[in-house]
Amino acid sequence: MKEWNYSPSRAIQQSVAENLQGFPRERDMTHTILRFLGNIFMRIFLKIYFRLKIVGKEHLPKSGNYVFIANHSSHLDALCILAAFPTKLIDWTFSVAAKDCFFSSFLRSFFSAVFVNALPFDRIDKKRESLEMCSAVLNVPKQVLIMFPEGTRSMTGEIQPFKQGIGILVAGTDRLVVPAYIKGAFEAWPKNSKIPWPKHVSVIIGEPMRFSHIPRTQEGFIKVAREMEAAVKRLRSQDDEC
Amino acid sequence: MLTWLTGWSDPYYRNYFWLVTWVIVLIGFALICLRAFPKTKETSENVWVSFSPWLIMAPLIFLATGLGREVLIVSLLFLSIFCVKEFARATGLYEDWGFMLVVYLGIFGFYASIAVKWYGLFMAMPVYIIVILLMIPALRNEYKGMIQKVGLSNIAIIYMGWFPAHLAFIGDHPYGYAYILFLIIGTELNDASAYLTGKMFGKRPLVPNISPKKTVEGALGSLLLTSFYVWFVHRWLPGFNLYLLILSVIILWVGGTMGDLVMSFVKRDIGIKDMGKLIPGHGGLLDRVDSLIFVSPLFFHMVNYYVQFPGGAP
Repeated sequence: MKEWNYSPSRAIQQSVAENLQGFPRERDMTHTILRFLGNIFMRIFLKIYFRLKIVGKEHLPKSGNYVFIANHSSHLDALCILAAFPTKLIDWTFSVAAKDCFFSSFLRSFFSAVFVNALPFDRIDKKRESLEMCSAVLNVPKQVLIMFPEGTRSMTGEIQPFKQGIGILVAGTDRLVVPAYIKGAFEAWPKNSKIPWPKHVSVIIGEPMRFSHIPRTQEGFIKVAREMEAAVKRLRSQDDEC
Repeated sequence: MLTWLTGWSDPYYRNYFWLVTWVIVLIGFALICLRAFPKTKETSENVWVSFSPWLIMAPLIFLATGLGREVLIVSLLFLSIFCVKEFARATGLYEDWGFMLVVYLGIFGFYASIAVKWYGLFMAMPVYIIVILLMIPALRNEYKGMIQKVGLSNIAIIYMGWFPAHLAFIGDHPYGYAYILFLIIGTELNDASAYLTGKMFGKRPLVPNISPKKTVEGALGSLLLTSFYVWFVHRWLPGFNLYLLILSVIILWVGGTMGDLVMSFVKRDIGIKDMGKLIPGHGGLLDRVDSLIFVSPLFFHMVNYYVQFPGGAP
C-alpha cells in the first residue's frame, strides 16, 4: 500500500506567539473567519463612530497587486484603509506594521495578525529582510500591500518626509502605487491620546501611479519618495479646495 | 445537575476541589524540598516543568465545570475546536477548507444538540456528518487524495468532536459534578502516575515502536495508583457499587493508557514529536487531553447504562 503523504504545518513546531509573529503566514480558516467578522464589525463601528467617508473608490485597481500608501497620523489609518477595500480582499491585504510595536506582546500579535493581517516589519535591525518580505508579498498575484512611507505616526498631524524604502519596492518596476490622504484621523486619535474621539474621518484615494521609468538607484528611490509625498499632498490640497 | 453557578454549593465539587488543591500543594512542596538536595535537584527540576502547567490547568478545569452547564458546553466546544485545529495542522488537512468547514460545523452541531438536550440527534449526527464528508469528492468532481482527506476528517470529527462532547452530557446527570470531576481527575492522575512510576522504576518498554518512553512498570504503577484513587473517592461516587467501581478502574486504566498511545501512533506516523507547543512540558493541547477524550464516551455509556439518568437517556 502506498504511504499517505502528510504535510504538517509549520505551526506545530512553534509556540502560538511565534506562529503569530511569523511571516508569510499559513492561511488558516479560523483566522480568516475571525478576520472577516472583525472587518465587518470594524466597518460598522467606523461608519457610526467616525462617520467614515471614502472618496475615490473607483481609483482602486480592479485586479493585480499594488501598493497602497497614505499619510500616517493615527492608529485608525490602517483600519480606515481596510474598510475602503472590498471584503473579499481582506485575506490578501497586508498592512506593514512595526514589529516592535504591534508584535510586542501576545495580545497585540494576536490582534495585528488575525484582525489586521499585519506584516511584521522589523524597522530596527532587519530592515533589508523586511523589505524583501514586502517585495515577496507583491510577487504573488492579487496581493495588496498597505504602507505608510512616513515610517511612524506624525506627532503634529502634518505630513512628514517620506522614507526611501518604498522606492526600493516600486522604482523601475511595473507595480502600481495608489496614494491616499486620510483626513481627520489625527484629530480623532492623535499619538499622545489614549482614547479615540468621535470626529469625522475620511479617506481620499487618488489615481494610481507607476514608476517604471525611474532608475533603480539611490537618487531614483529618493525621487519616488518625493513624488509620492507630492501626490499625497496634492490630494490634501484638492480636498481643502472642495 | 449542573446549573448556573451551583458548583461551589455541591458537596462533591468541594470535595474534589480540596483533593486537587491538597495534591498540588503536597507535590509542589515535595518538589521544592527535593530541589534542596544536590542528588535529586535535576529530577525535581525536570518534574517541575511538567508540574507547573497544572497550576493553571487545574483552576481552569474547576472554572469550566463549576460555573454551570453553559460554561461547560462552551469550554468543551473550544477544546474540540482547538484539538481539531492541532490535528489538522499536524496532518495537513488544514489546507482543505471544504473538509475543515464541515468538521467545524459538525462540532457546533454536536454541542448545539447537547445544549438543547436532544440526545437522539446527538447520537445520530455522526451519520449525517460522515455522509456529507463522503459527498464532498463527488460534489467537487475530484478524486486525487480524497480517501486520505475523508479519512482524516472522519477521525477529526469523531475523535476530537464527538468523543469529548459526551463529557458535557454527563453534566446533565443529577450527580454531574461528581462524575465529571471524578473522570477528569482520574484520567489525569492515571497519566501522571504512569509518567512518574515509569520515570522512577521503568525498565521494560511497553510498545517500543510507538512510544519508547512508556514502560510496563509505568503502566502497572498507574493501575495501582488509579485503583487507590478510586478506592479513596468511592464515597464521592453516589450510585456506584463495587462492580461499577471496578469497571471504572478498568475504564480509567485501559482507556487512559490506550488513549495516550492513540495520539502517539498518530504522531509517529506523521513523523513529529509533539502536536504543538501550547503547554510547556506537555506539548500541544491534544497531547494533554488525548486520554480524557478516549475515556469520556466509555465512562458516559457506563453511567448511562448502569446508574442511569432519571427519565431515561439525558
